[in-house]
Amino acid sequence: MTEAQAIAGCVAGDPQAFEVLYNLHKRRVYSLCLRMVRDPAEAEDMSQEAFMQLFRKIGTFRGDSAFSTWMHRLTVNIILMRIRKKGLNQVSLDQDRDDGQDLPPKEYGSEDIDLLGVVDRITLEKAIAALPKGYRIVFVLHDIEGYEHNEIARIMGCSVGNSKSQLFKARLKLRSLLLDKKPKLEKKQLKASP
Amino acid sequence: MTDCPDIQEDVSLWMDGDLDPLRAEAVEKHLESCAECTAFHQDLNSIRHGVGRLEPLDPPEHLWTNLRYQLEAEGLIHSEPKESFWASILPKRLPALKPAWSGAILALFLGIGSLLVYDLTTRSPLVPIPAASTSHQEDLLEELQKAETNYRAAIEALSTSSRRRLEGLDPVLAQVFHDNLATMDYYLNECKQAVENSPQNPLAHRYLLAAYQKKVELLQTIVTSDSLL
Repeated sequence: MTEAQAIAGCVAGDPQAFEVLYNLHKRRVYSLCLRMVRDPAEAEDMSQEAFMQLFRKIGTFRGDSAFSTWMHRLTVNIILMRIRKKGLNQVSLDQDRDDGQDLPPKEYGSEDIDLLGVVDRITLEKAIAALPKGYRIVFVLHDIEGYEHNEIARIMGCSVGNSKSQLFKARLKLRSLLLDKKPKLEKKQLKASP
Repeated sequence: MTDCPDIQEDVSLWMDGDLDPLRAEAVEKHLESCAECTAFHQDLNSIRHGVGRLEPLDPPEHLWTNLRYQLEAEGLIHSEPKESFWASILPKRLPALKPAWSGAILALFLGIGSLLVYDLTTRSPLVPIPAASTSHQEDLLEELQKAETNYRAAIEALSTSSRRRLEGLDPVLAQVFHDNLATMDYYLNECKQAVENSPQNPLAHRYLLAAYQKKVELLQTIVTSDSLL
């Protein structure tokens, strides 16, 4: 069964069509939820809500964009709505932007500390999960999901410049978190400390 | 003198292609001479490559089960349509055998019926009929005869439609239906004979009614044979 057939089947209430569509998109929806909220139980709950919304609204899908894009945007909206409902006003990008303690210390004239070879999948997933929420959302949307800054600005209700700035700080923080995992660098830092 | 943290923000934008040509040129020039910013650039590249290799994560197995329950609860998944009597008793995976099955079931029914008719016409009733008052029995017979008249009218009406339907069916399938109808007619005649032999016996009339009813059902099945197959 193709995706188009599955969509038509869902509109008609065919149980098999729902399962086909779920299997086609479950990993992407769940990954997005988990990376955005970190908590597996919450990610599961959000994924279920996203699919339910999708199946409730599937009759309104007109095919103007790719189905995956439509579904993805719907999932992002659900995640952000849920985060806001849970009192994550701190997702307000401005607050994180001005929060100096999330930024790595400024280092001038340090040695070459490139991360090449260090960024394995698990380490990277953990580092992304450790990002402050505001940074994490922008980083996941831009660097993982491929959203443009103007889209992120619209979704988050901020300026494009704000989104770019948040992304830079997210990358800076991520680099710092990954460098902390690098034994070679840790040794150097220990030697340098008084 | 250039401030590195400011340049690093530009490096991040430059990597995304979000920098105007003049500032992009300044970044490129700075990177040629600054080891720290070059390392920063390399690190961001490593992260970008790492992110590109991230794989989608599998949700837990029970997520679909939960979803399915909710879909059913909200009525988004439609239940299977109700089957007709004949469709429900015939095998689903063997549509070509459906008429044969219906024939077999019919033959079984006819066999049992014939035995009963035989008992009615040749021997004393299998189960003693309780004595009833003459007037009550006459009323009962009258009701049964009215029902027989109604069934005959229904059969006559359905016969025209079923004949037209049989003409449009696959010849093999049509032949099976013809055979079933012939068997049914034979059984009907047997019941009629039993009624003629024992016109006052309500049980004989009931069997005749049952035979009429089955013929009506068979004719209805022929008329709606599209939904059966």
